[in-house]
Amino acid sequence: MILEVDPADPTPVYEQIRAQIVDMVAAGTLSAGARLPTIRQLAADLGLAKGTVARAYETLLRDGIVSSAGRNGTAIAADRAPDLAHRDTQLHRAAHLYAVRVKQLGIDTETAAEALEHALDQLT
Amino acid sequence: MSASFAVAAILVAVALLAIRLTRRGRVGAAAALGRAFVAEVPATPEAEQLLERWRDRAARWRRSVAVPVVLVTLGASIVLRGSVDVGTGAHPAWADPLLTGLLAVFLASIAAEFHHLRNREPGPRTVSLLPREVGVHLRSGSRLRLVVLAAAATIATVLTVTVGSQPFPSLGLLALVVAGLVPVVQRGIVLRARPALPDDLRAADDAVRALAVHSVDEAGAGAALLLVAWQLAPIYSSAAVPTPIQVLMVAAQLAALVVAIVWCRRSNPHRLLPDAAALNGPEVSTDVATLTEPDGFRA
Repeated sequence: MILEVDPADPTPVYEQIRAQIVDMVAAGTLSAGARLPTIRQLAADLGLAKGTVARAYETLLRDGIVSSAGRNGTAIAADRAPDLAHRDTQLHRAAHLYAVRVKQLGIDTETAAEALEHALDQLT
Repeated sequence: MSASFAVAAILVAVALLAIRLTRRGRVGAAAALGRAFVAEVPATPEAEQLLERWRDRAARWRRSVAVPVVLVTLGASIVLRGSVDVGTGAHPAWADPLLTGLLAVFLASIAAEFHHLRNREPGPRTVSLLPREVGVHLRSGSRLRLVVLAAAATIATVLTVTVGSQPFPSLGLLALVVAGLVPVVQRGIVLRARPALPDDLRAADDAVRALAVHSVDEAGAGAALLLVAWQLAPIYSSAAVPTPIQVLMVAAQLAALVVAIVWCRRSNPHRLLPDAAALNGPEVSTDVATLTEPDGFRA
């Protein structure tokens, strides 16, 4: 379960966090009851202010995506059927963006596939 | 004198417990928890390097802080003939260096972990969504031990003011500070920043955190126990304390001295991680040329 934010992106950082968690819930990567890191941990890992992460969590809480588990932190709320169509759409969109970049750089398919595999290996 | 008896009884109980655990060979229970994390680390060169760097850095901090502190305190004690007194009252020449030495080891174990604080490089930041918890890295008795030590420090502090001859119980108060500082530092270690990592480095980083948490735990407990023990001196020196209680408190003080040294030794990074090259985890085939540390990750 990987989260990536880009402070240089025009989309607000809290919205980047919120959208990615929503995507992971829709794809079934984050299932009901899965615990999220504390605001402090996520803020430290991302190098953000706690308020930014807290805002993302509050929005998710308001939308019913997550629930507060008191001292146990924040967890994904009731089960939602994975939206596989949404997941596939996201995957193909990301693949398209990658493919465009590969072509722009003039890289062959094999090297591009190796780079993708290596990038996946680098992530937990 | 029931409170005096309570302090002495607590220290004796702690000492007996530690001795019992030592005889049963369970002194390594906490270390075993840390090593359990090490055992999960896949045997890759990068993971071994990460663990070894933590061990060497922690050991270097201990040497470079504790040794000069002990030598300076010892030298000052000898040269100034006892006029230097960090608060232990009537004591032999080795009392101050021992106390400052254990405190220096504790502070060094904390300082070694500040190495991870760094400026973040610009660009996208990738992290894992797996939660990290302090409790996972601690054995169940660790918190209880700190609570007992804090209770003993509180009682010793109160007794020093009410029964003892010392108006300001500096060592008892310092023991409370140390006991309070340990959980804060441990939480900081577990929750400090970590980017998304490949499995081997993530497991190695978990192991480093577990070992660091344990090292701070033992060093802090050792320092706090010795501070409490030394705070007993002005209490049992008081004429108001009956002789049998005085004897008991001196015995408890000596027992605590031994236990404090044992705990401090157990925080030694080389004892916690004798050989990082002997990782037990599954061997993972890696290509050193391509598998590099992610940007911004420095152990």
